[in-house]
Amino acid sequence: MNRADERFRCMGCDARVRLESPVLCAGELARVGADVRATLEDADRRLTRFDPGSDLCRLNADPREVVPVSALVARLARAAVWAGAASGGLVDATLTGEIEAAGYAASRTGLEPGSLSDAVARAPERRPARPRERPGFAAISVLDGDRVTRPPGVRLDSGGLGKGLAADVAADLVPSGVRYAISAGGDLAVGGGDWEVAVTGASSGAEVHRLRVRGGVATSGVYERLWRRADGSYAHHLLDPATGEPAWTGLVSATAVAASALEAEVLAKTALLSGPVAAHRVLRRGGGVLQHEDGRVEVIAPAPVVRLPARATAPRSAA
Amino acid sequence: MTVSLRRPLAVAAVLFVLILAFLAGRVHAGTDPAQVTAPAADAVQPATPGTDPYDGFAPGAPPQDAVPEQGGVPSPGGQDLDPPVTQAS
Repeated sequence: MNRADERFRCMGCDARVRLESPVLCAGELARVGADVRATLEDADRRLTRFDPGSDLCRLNADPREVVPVSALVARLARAAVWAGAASGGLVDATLTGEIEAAGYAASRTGLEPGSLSDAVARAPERRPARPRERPGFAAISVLDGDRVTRPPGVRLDSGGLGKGLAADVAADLVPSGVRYAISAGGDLAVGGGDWEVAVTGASSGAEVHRLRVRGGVATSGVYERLWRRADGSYAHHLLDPATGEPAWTGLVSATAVAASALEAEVLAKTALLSGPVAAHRVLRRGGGVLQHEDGRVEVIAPAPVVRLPARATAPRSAA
Repeated sequence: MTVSLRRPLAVAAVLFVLILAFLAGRVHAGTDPAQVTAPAADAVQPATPGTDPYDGFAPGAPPQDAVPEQGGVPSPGGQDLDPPVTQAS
């Protein structure tokens, strides 16, 4: 079995590409790994909102209603529309102005996150997040895969969607016969077989559980990008769309398993924003892990797969 | 007396074999008979709190719960010593 394993920084987070194959030689695996890394880094350059020259920033700054965009930005726009609809409006990628107002206008790479215990102690009343009455994502559409229409002023934030999308796009490059795990800042696309994926604790970073995954897995949490504002309150990047303020729902982290990294990202964020009760329903299909403010870790088992006996599914012979 | 007991015993034995064969067939087909009657609430397995105020387990301790199929696997002595990690993004 030949292996390749590379770690690097990408999208302001740790990225890792693991490849294993009994078919491809080490050199071929290294070339695939290099292509995957280049794809993730390209996505980083195109989708960052912290570089005015990025594809995303140029779209956001464009005063026209219909804007030509790169294929990746078109996919992000489609993903934003889908995520908004699939999450009932909770995953709203058009809260760019609100996230900037909350204090996240520049990259936080290299900055230590605030104290989670202190933030929890000072957090306002816990409640599930709610969607906006007229969400921005509902006004977005993609034409022919290369133009985006939206009212000028509606700005997209790539956020976790960009990481999940990048992992999925990179996974498309992996040839058959290769077992792969592609992590873009904790959003993973895994395939070629089952993978054990470790879930880390919100405070210590130590492993709290392992999931067996094929497809995608992602975690949404309040603790990695957590900062203290001038008034002494704490803020993080997961906003309640209805208020535009950081959501404090009683959960500090949600991990979701799904068919792709993008789907897992949307499920994880939806679960966290939904709060401890509704999150069970959100994660029931693919399974996942919830971490509560009080330190409890809940493992949500996926819905059992019921296989019918072979004789019940066999086609009937013609009479 | 012996004759009157022989028939019920034979019927019971046949029934036992039939039930065993039925259960074996369901397991072979991929259905765990225990799951049929398990309440949905059992799917959620609260973890045992550890020493860390925000983690359910002590740092480095292996997970203490086991979930069948894709939901997770117990990790003590797991095959992958340096598995991929999902963390908050």
